[in-house]
Amino acid sequence: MRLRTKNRNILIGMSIVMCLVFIAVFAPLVAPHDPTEADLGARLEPPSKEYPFGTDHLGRCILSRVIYGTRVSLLVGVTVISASLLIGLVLGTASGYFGGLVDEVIMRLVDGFLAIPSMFLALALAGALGPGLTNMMIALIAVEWTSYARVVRGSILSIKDQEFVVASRGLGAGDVYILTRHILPNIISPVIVIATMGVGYAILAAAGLSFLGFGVQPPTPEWGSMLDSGRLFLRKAPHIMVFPGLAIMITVLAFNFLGDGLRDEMDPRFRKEIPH
Amino acid sequence: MLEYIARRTLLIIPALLFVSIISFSMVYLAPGDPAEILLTSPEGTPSPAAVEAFRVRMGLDQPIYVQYLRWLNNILHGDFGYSYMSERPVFDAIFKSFKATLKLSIVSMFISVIVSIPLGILAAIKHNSATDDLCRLGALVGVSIPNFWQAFLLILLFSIYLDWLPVAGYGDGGDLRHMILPAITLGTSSAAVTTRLMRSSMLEALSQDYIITARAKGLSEKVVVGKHALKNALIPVVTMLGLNLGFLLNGAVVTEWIFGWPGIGGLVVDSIYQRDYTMIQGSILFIAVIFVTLNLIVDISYTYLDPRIRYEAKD
Repeated sequence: MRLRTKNRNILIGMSIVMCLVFIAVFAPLVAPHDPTEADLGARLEPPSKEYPFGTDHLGRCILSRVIYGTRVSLLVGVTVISASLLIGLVLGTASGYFGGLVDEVIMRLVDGFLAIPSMFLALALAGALGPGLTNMMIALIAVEWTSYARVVRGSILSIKDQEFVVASRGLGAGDVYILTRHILPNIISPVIVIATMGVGYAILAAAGLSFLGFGVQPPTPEWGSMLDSGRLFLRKAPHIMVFPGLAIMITVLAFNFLGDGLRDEMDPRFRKEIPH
Repeated sequence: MLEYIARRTLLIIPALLFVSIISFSMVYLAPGDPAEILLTSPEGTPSPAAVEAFRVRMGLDQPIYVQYLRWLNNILHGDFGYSYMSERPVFDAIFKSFKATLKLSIVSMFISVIVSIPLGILAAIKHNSATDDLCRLGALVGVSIPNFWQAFLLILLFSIYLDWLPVAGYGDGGDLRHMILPAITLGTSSAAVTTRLMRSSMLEALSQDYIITARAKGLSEKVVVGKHALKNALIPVVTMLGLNLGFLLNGAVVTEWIFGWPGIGGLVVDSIYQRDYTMIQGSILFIAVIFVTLNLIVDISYTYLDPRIRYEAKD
């Protein structure tokens, strides 16, 4: 996909995401301090020249912790969505393309997962598996894959009997060839849009789970757990709560901008020329 | 139509059966023996005899499938068992907290509706203007803001700096003063979603032929928008409000916990902290039943309200 767009939302979203990736990769160079180094003489200090975002209850630099926190959040967002996308693509394709019993079984499984509100399911799974980054990601993947399976299945159903597919089969093409050459390229647009927004949602949910203590454990800098530790000092040092929350919001907003823009761009009703 | 409703209703059964298996097996996903973990206190590990006695008392000595079938059978007879922690009936606790959640949800929904419907209409009428941009940006921010962070910002402003409202708690049976902040927190994301939907639905309605006819007849813009377009644009929005309860339930998990609101979200979080398995199993199943029923009502009312679906729905 070539990125020659004038869509404002894509440009805003893309620039913020690029900045975040840059910050995550070069965190040791960007951060002014070691994110886990405690300066017990400077606890709960408001923002200053030395500590631009202030310090937390252990005297750690909040700016540095927010910067390192970018790594965990992007990692979780991208990993959870890639895995969910892969599972959703495989099961959704099997379901939509082959139909019959396969379809019935997979769709009943999807119904079962969707019957529990996502946050309750993620929380119960994360709670049962125990705290930790990997378990949290497993819990989030269990919640996320269903929407991709549904979208993929729906898109495949809508095109698998169209003339170009039937013609290709008539010319002797096999299932694998039809799926990879004809069907996937035609259904990928809506999937990309929901996956982009999904990264933002996964980051939000992960921060929520970590906030409740089921995700990343201290002292690893993570935005959700930073908010959790700031909770007790709300009166004395409100700055602890402000910056990690702002970081979550900006990150999620960036992915939403990007997804929103991509949807407008890919929607045939708004598109003027056919892309190659 | 009837066939569709029947099929849609019957499909609930396998889904809920699946949920029952998932919620029941939560106990066994956790590493370690549940009886031993539950009895382990700060004073040290329990004696093997105490663990064995607890197992027998709670039925944990039976094979897993026997435990599951017995649990399911009891639940179908309305018996959700007893809490591992308080030893009180699980269903009473769930039902009581669900009432608190419902109360909070209704107020949140009200806040969400009075904000989102006018904003959505405004954005659609002033399509592609600065007002429209502002509404769309607001809606994007609304879905991106973490509700646990928003909760603290609200507490900071209204409870700590201005000292107008209580920080947390249920107050006198959940009075309005205690409800305002959690309700705003919960209502925000649902308002954001509804604003977007109202906007696109209104834009769609305004582009229809009957609107051109209405304008050509010389009707005032007020009547065109307020009567002809709004009536049609509201159909998807009204049915969507049912689905919004799903949003509210998800948000309730963290929001209720922060504000100390004794609802089902806070109940689940606390039960997980305490490893109160009977309570976790019961609440997850209860929530799923509510959620699935709600989705069913939304689906059916949608097909009923929109004749285009009513006549085409065969699947």
